[in-house]
Amino acid sequence: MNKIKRKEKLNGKKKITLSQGMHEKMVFLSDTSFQLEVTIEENASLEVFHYAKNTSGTIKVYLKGEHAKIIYHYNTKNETKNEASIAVFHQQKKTESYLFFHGWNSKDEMLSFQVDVFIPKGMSGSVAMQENRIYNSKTGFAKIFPNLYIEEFDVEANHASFTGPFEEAQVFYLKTRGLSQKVIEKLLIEGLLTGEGLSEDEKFDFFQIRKEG
Amino acid sequence: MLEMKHLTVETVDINKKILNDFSLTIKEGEIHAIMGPNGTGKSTLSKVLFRSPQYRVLEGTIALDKQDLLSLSTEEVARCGLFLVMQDPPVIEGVTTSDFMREALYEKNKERVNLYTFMKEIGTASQKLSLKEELVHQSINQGLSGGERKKNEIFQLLLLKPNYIVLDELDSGLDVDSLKQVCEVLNEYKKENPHVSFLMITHYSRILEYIHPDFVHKMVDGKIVETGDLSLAKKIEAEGYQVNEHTKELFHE
Ligand SMILES: Nc1ncnc2c1ncn2[C@@H]1O[C@H](COP(=O)(O)OP(=O)(O)O)[C@@H](O)[C@H]1O
Ligand SMILES: [Mg+2]
Repeated sequence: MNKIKRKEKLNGKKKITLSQGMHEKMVFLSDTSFQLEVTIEENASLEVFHYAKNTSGTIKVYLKGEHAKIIYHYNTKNETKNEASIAVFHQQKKTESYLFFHGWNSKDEMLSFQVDVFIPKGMSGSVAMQENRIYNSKTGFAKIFPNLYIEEFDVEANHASFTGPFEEAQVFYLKTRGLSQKVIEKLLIEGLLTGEGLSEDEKFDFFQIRKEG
Repeated sequence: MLEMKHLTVETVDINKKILNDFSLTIKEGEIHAIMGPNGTGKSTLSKVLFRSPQYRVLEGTIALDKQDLLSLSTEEVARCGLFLVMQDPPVIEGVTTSDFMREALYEKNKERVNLYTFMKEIGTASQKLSLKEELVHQSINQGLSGGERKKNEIFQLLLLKPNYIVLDELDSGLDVDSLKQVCEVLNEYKKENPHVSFLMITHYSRILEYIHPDFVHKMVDGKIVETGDLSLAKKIEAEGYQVNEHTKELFHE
């Protein structure tokens, strides 16, 4: 397992290149709008844990060399109208993208995710997976636009999306063990916004989640 | 004592009547079994006991030692010492069994359990059930087989130490050896806590070979139609539910 190399604020523009053979993990924290561009070369990989608070932003990822790989965990808590978008360009064979976009929409506004993956013809042996999830705590709106633009036949791709309030069956189950609605929401939100790079306390601080119930 | 009297229940979504004048009394320490064909309302009964928002009680009462359960919320029912082993417990991504059990113990005892004691209890409980301990530190039920899910239910039961236990189709998903093992664990729990009552809900009499009920009830079309001892289970096993053709069809599906 790679150690986390960088943990930094990401507001405004940033470009990153992982040159051949590099493997890294990075942690980003955003609280105003950001634009990130990542280029990954042959046999290199990057895993990102991105925590964003009430902001929009765009991410572009170029998988430029064979066996280039991106794993992107985006976790956001939202209160106003925001959109996060990511576009991944598979530009070589055997490239891999794994995208996890999770949001907690805690007020009455709109949160949307636009998740685009492009695999042109010829990029055989590539893998594209995404799992996106938004919980609405109150009367907010959530939209997820997952798009897989795949022209190549020999790829492995799948996606799963969920938007909505907390799932009734899950809430009921936890209640039958004696947990209150408040504690359940806290657990489900923590579960939604999981990832490395922040301790539990740092995460609570950053997202302003109350610790006890 | 848990007393259900004249319960008539419908679903909230499509107003389908499921329980129909259902009555059953379970005294402290008793073991009851309800047997009934598919679709007769057995799981509904278990969820109504736990105040599921999916069902509306039109008539009847549920009392636990004079406490009116119908005026309580699901979590309050649980805190009265009732435990439901679900037929199909859900997957909850991102929340581990151990984390949520710590919260549940906090709700129950109103103080934080000592981490060391907690870890020891986890170890003992998972060992008893031959449940790999690492599984309880993973997301609830994620990637677990049907049998492991059932063991994970009993694992939680051992930590929470309830007084009234509802087992909804415990045998589904468990192979013969695991079922035997899980039932032995439950029998041991019952031996250590003789005041504990069981309500076993089942479709087959298989489980009754391992946990012996004091009473067996035959349930058809949302109510109990016959009550007896273990011999009634044997009779049902031999003859089927012997009701109208429609219900028979359901049973054989
Ligand atoms: N929430 C619900 N909405 C609609 N129909 C339901 C609901 N819950 C149960 N049912 C129906 O009620 C009947 C009884 O269900 P259930 O209690 O699960 O039966 P059993 O556990 O005895 O097999 C079934 O026909 C089932 O489809
Ligand atoms: Mg059932």
